[in-house]
Amino acid sequence: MIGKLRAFGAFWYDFIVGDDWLVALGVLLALAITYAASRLTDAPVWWIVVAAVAILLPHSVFRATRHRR
Amino acid sequence: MSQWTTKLTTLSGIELEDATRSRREFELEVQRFKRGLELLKNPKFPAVSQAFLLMNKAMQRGNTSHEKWRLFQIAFIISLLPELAAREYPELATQDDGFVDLLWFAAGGGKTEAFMGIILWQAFFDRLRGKQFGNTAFVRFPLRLLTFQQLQRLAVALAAAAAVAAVLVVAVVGMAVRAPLSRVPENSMKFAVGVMLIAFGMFWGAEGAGAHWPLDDAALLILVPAVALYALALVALFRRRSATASPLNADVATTERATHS
Repeated sequence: MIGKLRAFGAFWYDFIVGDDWLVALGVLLALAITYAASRLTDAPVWWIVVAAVAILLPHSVFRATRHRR
Repeated sequence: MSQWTTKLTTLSGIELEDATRSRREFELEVQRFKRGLELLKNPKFPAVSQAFLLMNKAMQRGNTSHEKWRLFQIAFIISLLPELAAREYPELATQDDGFVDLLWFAAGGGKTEAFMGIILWQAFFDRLRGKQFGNTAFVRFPLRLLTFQQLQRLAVALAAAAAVAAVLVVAVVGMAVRAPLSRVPENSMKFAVGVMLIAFGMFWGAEGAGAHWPLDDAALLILVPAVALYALALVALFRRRSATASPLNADVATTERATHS
C-alpha cells in the first residue's frame, strides 16, 4: 500500500515538477505574480510569463547540456 | 403466415377484407425488412453496413445499458435502410418506396432508441457519402416536458457518434503518418513537442492567471515560432560552449598541436 502511494506521489511529482524543481518553481512564481498583477492593476501582464520563460529556458538548456558533458 | 392463410378461409365479408389487407401489409413489412438485410450484406454498397456498424458502436457507447436491440427496434431500423440509401444509390429505389412510418409502441418500450438508431445511421451514412453540411433529421415532441429529456438523450447519442468518428479519424491519420513520423529523428521530435508545450503552456497559463494576450488567440502564431527560435539559439550557443569546454576536445586539440610541431 505504501509502495503504491509512493508511486502515485512520484508520478505526480514527475508530471508536475519533472527533472528540474527550479524551473517548476519559477513557472509557479510567474503565474502567481501574473495572477496578482492582473487583480491589482489594469496594465498588461502577459509579458511576465514571457519574461519568466526567457530566464528559465536558458537555465534549463544549460543544465541539460552540462549533464551531457 | 400459413396459419394466417388457413384462418382467412374461415372468414367472410368485412372481416375477410380487413384480414386480407392486414396480411398484405404485413407481408410488405417482412419484404422491406428482408430488403434491408440483403442490403446490409451487399458488398456493392459498403457505406450502408459501415454506417450500421458505427451506429451500433455509438449506441453502445452512448448508453451502457443498451446491450441489444429489441425486435421491433431492429426491424424498424433495417426496414428503413433501403429507402434512405436509395437517395445515394438510385438503383436501390423501388415503386413501393415513399412510406411514412409510424412507430407505435407502449411508453418505455424503446421507441426513442429506435429513432436514435436510424438518425445515427443516417448521420454516419451522410459522412461516408461525403455530405459536408445540411440537415439529417428533424425531431419534434408533442410535450414540452419531453423535449428536454429526449433532447438530452439524443445529444448523448450524437456525442457518442462523434466520439466514434473521432476515434476513427485519429486511427486513420495515425496509420497514415506513422511511417513518415518514424523517420523523424527522436530528438527533433522531442524538441518540437517541447516548443509546443512551452508556447501553449505560456499562452494558457497566462490566460488562466488573468492575463490578456495582445491579438488574442493569434498571439500563438507569434509565440510558437518565437519560442522555437529562442530555443534553437540557446541550443546552438550551449552546444558551442559545450564543445569548446569538453576535456575530450581539449585532448584532441593537444594531440593535433603535438603532431604539427
